[in-house]
Amino acid sequence: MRIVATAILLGVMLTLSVRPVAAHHAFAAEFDAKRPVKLEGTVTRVQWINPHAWIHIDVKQANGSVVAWMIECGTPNVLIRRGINKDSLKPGTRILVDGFQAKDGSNKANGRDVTLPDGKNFFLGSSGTGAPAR
Amino acid sequence: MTRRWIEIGLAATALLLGVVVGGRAQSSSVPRTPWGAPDLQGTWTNATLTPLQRPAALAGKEVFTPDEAAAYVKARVEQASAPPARPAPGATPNVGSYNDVFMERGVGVVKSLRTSLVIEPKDGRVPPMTPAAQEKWAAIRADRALHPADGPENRSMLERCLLFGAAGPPMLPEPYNANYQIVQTRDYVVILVEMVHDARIIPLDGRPHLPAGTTRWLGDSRGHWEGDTLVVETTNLRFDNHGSRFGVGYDTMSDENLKVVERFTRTDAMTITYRATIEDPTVFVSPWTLEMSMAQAKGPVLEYACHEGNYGLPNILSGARAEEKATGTSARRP
Repeated sequence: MRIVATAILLGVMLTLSVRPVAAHHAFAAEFDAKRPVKLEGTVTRVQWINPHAWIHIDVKQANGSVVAWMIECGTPNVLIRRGINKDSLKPGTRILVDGFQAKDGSNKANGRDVTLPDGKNFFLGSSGTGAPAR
Repeated sequence: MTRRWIEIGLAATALLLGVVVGGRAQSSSVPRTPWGAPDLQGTWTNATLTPLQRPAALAGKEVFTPDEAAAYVKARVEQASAPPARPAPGATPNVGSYNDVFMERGVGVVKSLRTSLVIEPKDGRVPPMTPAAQEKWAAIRADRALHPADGPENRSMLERCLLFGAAGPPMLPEPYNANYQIVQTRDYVVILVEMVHDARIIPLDGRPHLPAGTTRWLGDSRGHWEGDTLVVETTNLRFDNHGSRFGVGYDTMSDENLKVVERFTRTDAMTITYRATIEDPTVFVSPWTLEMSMAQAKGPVLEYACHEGNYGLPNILSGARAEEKATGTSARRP
């Protein structure tokens, strides 16, 4: 009975607790919901800066030309606590980005979903954890 | 990848056990400084899955049972680990933010197992605003809607790297960088706040507050000891019309009459119990109090140099200009 009550309680809670979009700034004000992008590119450099890290990639077009994009990420501080540093994502690494293009039309996108093609990656999904706890 | 998940699992289990069996230690076990004050020094995190306000679905449910708390934590961690939801065909997609690997939402609830950080009023909700404040707030929101991005001054304190709920006061947990370092002397307590690189300098020598009308983002704090509890009273806070003071998740205003009284009690070697009472008679109909656990963290507190590369703000403004150009309209003030 108690387990059933707990399950009902959690069911009610989880229907309400939509995964929060909580970040340093309003991404909906910077990126355009009408311009979803899927990019596959090669890392050229990583700006390991606050409040947000930026991954620079070169994206090869169908006609062979290359277009540079910038991908906005979260704070590097969290990754440092997870043992990931600015050298972890080396130039030449291929990444997949699923996000939205900047409202001003420039080649910037948010890294809502950034993965490495080989599957063994640190960007897939989330730990959802408080890494610093001892 | 597998190893990381094992580590996460172990950390989650350890914290859950802490949640379930943890109790309050006697004050005799509290570490002390060489001069006899309770020692609050070290690095701490207030990351928690407990929400500021009690969700409507839990109305009347003040405290989880240990089983409920464990199940709640498990469900929330699994939920956060799931890939971003895809919009239904034809629906406007949610832009989202960035990959969830950059989040640190915590893997536990507050030690009291309460279902909200707000403990007073008893319903776990921030009290309503006064009619006059509601009117003022409605006007602020209407102006925001009309002038969302005329210039940087229209954007939130956090987007401008000025203030986060993490520093407050009250110090509220943010979804990442919810870390603090406390340093004490006989006469001062300093709280270094990772988000956004703030230092709260709190004199303990009984000096008076700054004159009324002299306001600061972090206010003017004065501390004293009541038994083993550090009590910090903060006044002279700047009017904040963007809600940043109360954390990312709760958008409301406060004004220059805001007074926050915080209580830091080291309830065991690994925990500071933090309480804050918020009074703003020209904004809220009654005072309210929140309580949370600050858990000892590995540290160090890292530098979050928010102005270092805040490209987001100019991108938001250039996006607004591009929209104006595309639509041929502008609500910008001349």
